[in-house]
Amino acid sequence: METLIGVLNGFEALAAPLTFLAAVIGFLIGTFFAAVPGLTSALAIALLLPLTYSLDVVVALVMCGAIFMAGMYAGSITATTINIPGAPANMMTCIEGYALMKKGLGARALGHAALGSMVGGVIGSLLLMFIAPLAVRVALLIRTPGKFSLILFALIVIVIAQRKSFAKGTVATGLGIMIATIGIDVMEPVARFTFGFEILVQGIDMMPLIIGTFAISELLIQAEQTRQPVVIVGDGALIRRRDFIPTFAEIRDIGPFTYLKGSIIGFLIGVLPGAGGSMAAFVSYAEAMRSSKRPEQYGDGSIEGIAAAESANNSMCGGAFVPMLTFGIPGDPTTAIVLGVLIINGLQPGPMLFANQFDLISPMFASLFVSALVFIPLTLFTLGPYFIKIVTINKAVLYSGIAVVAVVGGYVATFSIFQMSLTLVFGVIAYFLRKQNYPTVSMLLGFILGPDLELYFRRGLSLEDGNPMVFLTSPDSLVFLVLTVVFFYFFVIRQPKTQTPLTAKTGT
Amino acid sequence: MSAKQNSRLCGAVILPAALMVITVIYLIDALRKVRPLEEGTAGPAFFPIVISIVMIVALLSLVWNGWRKIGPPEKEGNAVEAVALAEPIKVVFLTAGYIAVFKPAGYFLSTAAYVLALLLVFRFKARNVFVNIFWAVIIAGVCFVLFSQIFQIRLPTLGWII
Repeated sequence: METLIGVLNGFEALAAPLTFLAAVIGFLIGTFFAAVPGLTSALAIALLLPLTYSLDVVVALVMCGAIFMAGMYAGSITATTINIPGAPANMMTCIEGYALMKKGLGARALGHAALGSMVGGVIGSLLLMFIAPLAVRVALLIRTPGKFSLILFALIVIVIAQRKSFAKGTVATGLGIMIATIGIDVMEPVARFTFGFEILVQGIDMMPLIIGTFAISELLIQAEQTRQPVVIVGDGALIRRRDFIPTFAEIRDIGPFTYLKGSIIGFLIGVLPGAGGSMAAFVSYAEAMRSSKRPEQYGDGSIEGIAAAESANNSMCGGAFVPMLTFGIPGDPTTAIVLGVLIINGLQPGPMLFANQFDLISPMFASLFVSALVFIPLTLFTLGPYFIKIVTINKAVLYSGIAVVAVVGGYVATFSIFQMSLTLVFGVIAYFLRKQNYPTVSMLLGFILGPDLELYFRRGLSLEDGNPMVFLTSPDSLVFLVLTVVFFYFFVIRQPKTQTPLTAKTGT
Repeated sequence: MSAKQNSRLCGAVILPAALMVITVIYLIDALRKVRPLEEGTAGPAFFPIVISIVMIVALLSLVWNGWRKIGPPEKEGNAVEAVALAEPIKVVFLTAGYIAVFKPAGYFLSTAAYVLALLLVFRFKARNVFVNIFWAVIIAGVCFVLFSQIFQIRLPTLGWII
């Protein structure tokens, strides 16, 4: 009952004109960033991060929620219209949507993507509203050794979930942890790894790392591709508003169970640290294809495939907030940056956040819900015919503007030229890591979770006078260590050696 | 094996090797300054030492795997990589220059110049310099309004004018 009242208060707070305006602006920003190939909602929130210093925390979180939901949905626009997924989570929509676009049914594909996103987003945000407060009760049961094992488990799962080389994931995570150790020690007043530079005693701020990793590295990647024009196949003028609306027969053909199943899969994968929207969409799409009455349509314009993928990736938005808000472990890159917004505003994820400051986060839950239920269909209907024009925006103007917002953003956080310079340094590091297929998300999560991993490890040891057996004798810790071993065994040691027909088809 | 593949594989060895150097310096600093185990508990150096050992093992496996895949060097491959890196290097130098003059030159002048240079790197209407200058001033102005007027963030100025 208390939770329900808190959630309703969140909707009331969202209805305040300024907060609601922030949600609308956030949704439009998220739509734009996701619709332009190369830009993502994570980048949008990273650019917003320095500005949150002068924003009210509720307004900032509401904007983040709207950007996140819009980002997951709007990636389907370019996936359908120009065969380039706006975000990795829209890869499956790309396969089916573009096939429909080539048949002159692009509007139909966009309509089904929006419907799937709407249903998934609504279910995901409802599950978040009512499951997160329950998950917090579980968080209360975990003691210091268990917290160490939980973070270790999360970091291992994050590396596995990136589906890249395990060694590269380990290196990226380790690099993030190493950067986080610069400055004052987590338990003692000792400066570490300053290499004689007094300025490093204060440590490395999260802001330059986030902006460098997401914005500057993207700028450098895009600079490589200045000679490659965007090719639009099909006729954008053919898209009419009435064509967006899915027919009742089509929805009945897809079946409500497909939407529900996709949403639940998406939510559960969102809860898994590091898995993200692309895995949610992939698993849901694969499951829908496996259980479909017409699997032969997959790859040739299946609206069922679009519904499964889009309901899952938007439902993931709600799921990804559960571990972030309850344990401080982000479920995906976007929630990792939202965690930064919380930390900047002095909010600490965990049981106390839900007990004492639920009124600050519940408007964000409402923002996710309203974005999915109202903004997605409204945006499609009002702006849908102009979507294709978004991709024709001049790249030079766009990236020059992003460069200024990113670099100046590195300055305004601390008014420090040193931190501004670090933005460039981390951007260059992230650029080379991305070029060699290292998961930069792991570096960011290593940076965020590293200090807690060390803190709980050393506190755990000090509880038993340095006896490491404390991590095996504590039941909660043992559970997470066993889970870590199980995940490592099945996904690293016994990983599939051959491609499945589906992965061969999709190229993922 | 194609020239481009060869070039990528060279990168696959160079990056982990560079990270290895950084990790070894980090490890030496950890070993030199603080004892890893103090009175039976983990001190400030213990965790960094563990992390750097894990990193070194992972990096060795990457260097080894990358090294095994490298074929004979081909000049064409290096040329492809050099062309691809030329534009990002320009952006890095421009950004470094922008950061260096940001406070002394003030926001507006430094930003307009930075945007103008970026527009040229991104090949925006390269034949008409006045259009470039117009857009550089517009972008710098829009960002100024965003930071200074909407979010009330004080930006550096050149004297009292700009």
